[in-house]
Amino acid sequence: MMNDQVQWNISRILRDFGKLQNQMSSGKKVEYPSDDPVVALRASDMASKLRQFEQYRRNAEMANNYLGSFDSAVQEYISLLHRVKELVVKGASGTLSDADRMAIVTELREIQEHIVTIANTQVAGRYIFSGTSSDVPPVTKDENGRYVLGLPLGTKNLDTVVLGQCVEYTLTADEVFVTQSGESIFKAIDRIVEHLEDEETAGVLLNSADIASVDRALERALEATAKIGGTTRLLEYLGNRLDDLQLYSIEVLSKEQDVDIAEVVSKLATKQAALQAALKSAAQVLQPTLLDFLR
Amino acid sequence: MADLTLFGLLNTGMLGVYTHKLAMNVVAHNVANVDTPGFSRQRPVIQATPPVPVNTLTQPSIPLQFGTGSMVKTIERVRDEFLDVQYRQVNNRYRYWESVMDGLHFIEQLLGEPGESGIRKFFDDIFSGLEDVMSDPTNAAAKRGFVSKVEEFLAVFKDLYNRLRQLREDVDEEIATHANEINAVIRRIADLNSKIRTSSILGVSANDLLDERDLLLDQLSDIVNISYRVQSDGQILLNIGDKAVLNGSSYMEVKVYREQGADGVNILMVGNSELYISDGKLKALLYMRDEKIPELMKRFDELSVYLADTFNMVHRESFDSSGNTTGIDLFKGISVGTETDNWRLFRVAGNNRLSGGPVRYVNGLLGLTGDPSSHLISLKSTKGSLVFLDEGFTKTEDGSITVETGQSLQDVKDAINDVNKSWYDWLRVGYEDYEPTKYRFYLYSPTSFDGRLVLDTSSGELLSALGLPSKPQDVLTITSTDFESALEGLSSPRDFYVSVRNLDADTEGAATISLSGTFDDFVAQLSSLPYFKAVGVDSNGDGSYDLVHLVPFYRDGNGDVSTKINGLELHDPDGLFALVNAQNRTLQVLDTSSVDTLENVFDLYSASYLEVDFGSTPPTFLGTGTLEFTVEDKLNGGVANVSIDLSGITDLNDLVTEINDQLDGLDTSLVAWTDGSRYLRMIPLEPIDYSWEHVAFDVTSDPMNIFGAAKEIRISPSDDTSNLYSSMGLTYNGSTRERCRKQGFEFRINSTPVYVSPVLDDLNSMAERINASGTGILADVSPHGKFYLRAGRRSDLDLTNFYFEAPSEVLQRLGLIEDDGDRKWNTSTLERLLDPMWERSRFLERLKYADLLTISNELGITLNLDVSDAVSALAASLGVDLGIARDTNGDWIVDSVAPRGESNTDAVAEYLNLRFRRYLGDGDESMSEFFGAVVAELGIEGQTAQSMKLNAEAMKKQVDTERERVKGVSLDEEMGNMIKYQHAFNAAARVISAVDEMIGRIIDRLGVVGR
Repeated sequence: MMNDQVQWNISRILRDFGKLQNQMSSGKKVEYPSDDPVVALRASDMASKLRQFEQYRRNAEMANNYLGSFDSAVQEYISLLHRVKELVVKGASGTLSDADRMAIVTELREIQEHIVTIANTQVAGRYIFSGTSSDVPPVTKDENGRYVLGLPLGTKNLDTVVLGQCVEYTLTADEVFVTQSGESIFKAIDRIVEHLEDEETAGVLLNSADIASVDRALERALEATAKIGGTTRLLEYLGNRLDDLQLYSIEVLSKEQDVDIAEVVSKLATKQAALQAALKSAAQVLQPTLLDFLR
Repeated sequence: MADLTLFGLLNTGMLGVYTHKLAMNVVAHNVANVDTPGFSRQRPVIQATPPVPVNTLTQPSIPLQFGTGSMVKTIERVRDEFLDVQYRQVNNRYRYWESVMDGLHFIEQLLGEPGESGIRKFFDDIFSGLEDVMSDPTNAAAKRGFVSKVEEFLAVFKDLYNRLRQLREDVDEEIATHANEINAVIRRIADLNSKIRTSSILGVSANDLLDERDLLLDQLSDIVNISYRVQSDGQILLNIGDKAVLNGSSYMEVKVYREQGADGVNILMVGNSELYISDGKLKALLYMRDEKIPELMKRFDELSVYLADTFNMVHRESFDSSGNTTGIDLFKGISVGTETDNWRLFRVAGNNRLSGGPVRYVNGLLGLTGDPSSHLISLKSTKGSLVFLDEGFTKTEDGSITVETGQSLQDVKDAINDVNKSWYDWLRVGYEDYEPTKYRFYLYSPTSFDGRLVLDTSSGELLSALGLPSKPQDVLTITSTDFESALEGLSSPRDFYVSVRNLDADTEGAATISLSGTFDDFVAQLSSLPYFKAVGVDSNGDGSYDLVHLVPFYRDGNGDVSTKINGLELHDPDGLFALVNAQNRTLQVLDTSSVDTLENVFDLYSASYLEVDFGSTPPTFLGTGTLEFTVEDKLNGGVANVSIDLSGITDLNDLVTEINDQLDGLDTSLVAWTDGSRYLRMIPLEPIDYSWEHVAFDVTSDPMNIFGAAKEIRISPSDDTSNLYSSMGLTYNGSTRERCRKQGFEFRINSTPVYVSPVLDDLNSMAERINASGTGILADVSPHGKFYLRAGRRSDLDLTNFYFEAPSEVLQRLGLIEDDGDRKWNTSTLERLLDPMWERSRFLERLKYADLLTISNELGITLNLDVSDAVSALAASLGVDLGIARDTNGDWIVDSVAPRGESNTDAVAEYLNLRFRRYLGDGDESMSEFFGAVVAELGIEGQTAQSMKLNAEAMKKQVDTERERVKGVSLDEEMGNMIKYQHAFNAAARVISAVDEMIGRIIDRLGVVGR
């Protein structure tokens, strides 16, 4: 009878001992949902959230890569526009020889080609300035050999989700290469070139309308850089927030389900003492019977 | 005289020796069985033998009662039967919880939650795969990645499912094994019973046999709940569960009967009826097999079915990125055929995709009470203006109204309605009660708002003050100041050539505009600009324009009216727009693109009549001839021929009188009316539902060109119908459509009514109302407006368990039943779509026009779920683009869809949303919560089982200890007894030797006298 009792007590202590041992080696307080359903669910939810955060991070990184290529493209475009402006101002002086003007025309044509290349920049086979219609080049030549800017109807900017927030990370050609007044830079350069080639009108018009439209184009391009900058900052902010949240979540998760080593070690020590005591007392209790004292 | 003899005394001593030898034997037996399971301590019952009355020498008259010694009357078993009962009950509980815990723990381990490799990770991966597709839509690898992740999840999910199934089979095997175990025990008990009976007839206590029987009963209590009764002959009656299985030595075995079918399980029978068990290990196994595991499998099947059907719902309506595949499924393997009756009706979808149709009603302010003339408009700036643009208008016909702060809603209504301008043809404003105490302010277009633009020139203030929806509109704006400074910069007025290219339609137009004169002149000139409308605004109220908005307004490649500025390319070779500093501005316009209230979708516009408008030249009635026409009531089938001799007719009034005279009594319901000078109207009355589309009107002879010479003949729908009819002196009973529009209608699901207001609700909110009613039917609307009904968990995913009723027209519009072509709205009688009393075949007949998904009515649906062949083989054919759904003929039913572009990912966004919609558990649980909920439930149940087990274990231990204390062999006690018996034995032996000596004395020493 006492034997059973002793055995049961010892096995109970051993079971607790085993559990603590398990916690110690896995490092987790909650291994199975039945250990603590609330913590288990929270841990499971938190792990799911962390995976989501990981995905957000990937989304943000991809958007950032894109923004980088937009930034360099637009910066290049702006420096070209400055050159165009210089040329227009120079061409408007009226004291130029025909040869000089033709040199300007040639350079303008080259710059125009260059801008077309920028507008039709491809990354991994996709036209980055085409938004959702990334298989269509934004700038094409029409039947007269002039550059036309046109994206299919319904073209939108691409977006991705970071921390539940939709972030547009592209710029369409309309937003960069078209001025406030709805004219594309290609048309503007065509016009300037026409004026330069026409001896009579060159001086007058170049002074007013043409310089104005180059300025408008610059304004628009600067707006585009502002938008890129804004989105970059937004992503940076979301990235920081993501870091914080991730750190916080990991911390909460760890608090919830990770073992407090010190606590477990001390519990183990207590259990060990209890086990030893049980064994010792068992040894003493089980030994003597009346038999031992009979002669 | 008799006396107790010495030999008798010798016998008494011998009995003492014998008795204690026997007692010592019991001690030895106890000690020998100290470790025998089930053994209960025995105790000799020592009794004095009967005394003998003897007359002694000294007292001859009164006999003495001489003791004759002792004997072991019986050997007793020390046992407390009550503790046995206690023990077996507690043991029952303990074994039950122990087995439940074991089973749940196994499932817990299968799920692997919480952890990094649990099922949930694989499910989450599907959606991160989708986000990859969304951020990089043309990347084929991202799509392949997504498809692989889905396949991976399915593999893991199916494996989990299979393991559950395997577990269930193992449990089932175990149940059969336990049944055999029970039978062995019953047989043994029966045998023991008969032996015990023999002993008890002989009057002997069969202690060791009883011990063995008790041990067997203990063993049984591990497995099942038992009850028993000991009879007088020592045999027991035994019940297992709810059945008597043993009486004495006759018994019935527990039979194992295997059910038919793939999912058949072992059923335990006693005799011819099923054995019901309420406790013990077997009960736990039955619980796992029949409840817990199937419940989990059912829930997994529910997830599978919803996952497949909702993803397919979106996928079928989407294009792949090359824009050429649509209508394919993402998942396959869910549906089963209906050849046999082994199916459940999981989903019914209407066959009409309802979206993109003409908008006739737009809600403004809602919830109004009190007089409209006391509802004052409050604007931040002192006044606001609306400009009405219509493609058909010449520039000068475009109208506008201006409203000042402090004017009332009534003033706005009057300003818009009380004009004789062309916009009145398509735009009207009204109030209408939509609830008994509330009315709304709304815009109404008898035709449609399509191709019309209501532009707010004060950045949307007036639109928002009227509660109207608005959206941004890009325009080009030129101010008079900029115009004047540009004019000053010019040495002389100049002409500017401007061309505009319509990129989408690939057409071009041009205009020459001269920069001269006043700004008003300039605005007038800008009106000649193609694809634009020039809207001059006088903001300071000095009578001349201060700025001009160029509003893009043109038809795109599809022939739709577009107002997108980037669909046009301005070619401005002379630099006019740069010079006058045209600025890109954003104004607000009335947004009808997302208006899809049911009054629009269900086409609930009011009555219409034929109107002949003679303009300012009323017809003259000279000459003779016969005006002949026929009228047919297409709804009820009546035909009337009208023939009028014109010679007697002098004016419209005469004509109308004559027409009405002839129509009166004929089998049609048409009435003629005129104002006497300009209008002649032919008005259908009930029962033709006041709508001209139910009337065939055929003029066969019209010599005076009455119908032909009219300036315009139109089918004129009208709002505010009752006023209009009463102004014509006609009684208006209200068209059924109009009644439905104002009063709404009801769905009836089981016995729960679900009210829907066509004024306020759109398809989505109608579905939400159905879901909110908590009936267990879940309604849903696909991206293109297909109406879905799905069965929830409580109904076992089977719609045939529901009553579902709705007005017939509603069912027809949704495409759930065949459209009968008539548009008579009868909302008071409901038509039944589903009825649980119907045969299976009747459902198929009833729903033959709808799109059905039937699923197997057995477990294991998950195991058949797979990615469809098309997508699995070619991940690039994954639907990512919802495209543009268009209704071209004005009935709201989508008849053309076109892809939007390879990088359009609105379908992907829709998939991502599916994750968070509450589809599961009768609308309580989203897919993202599913595994969390399963984990939590298992955890809580496991935790309960665990603590119940520990509880029962402690109790069992307590009872067992107590029982052991009573029945167990204590060596101390036995040793004590041993010494006691030994001493008694010794003493009895000594008595014998003393008596022996006494006899010796008599024999050897007496009578030596004569020797």
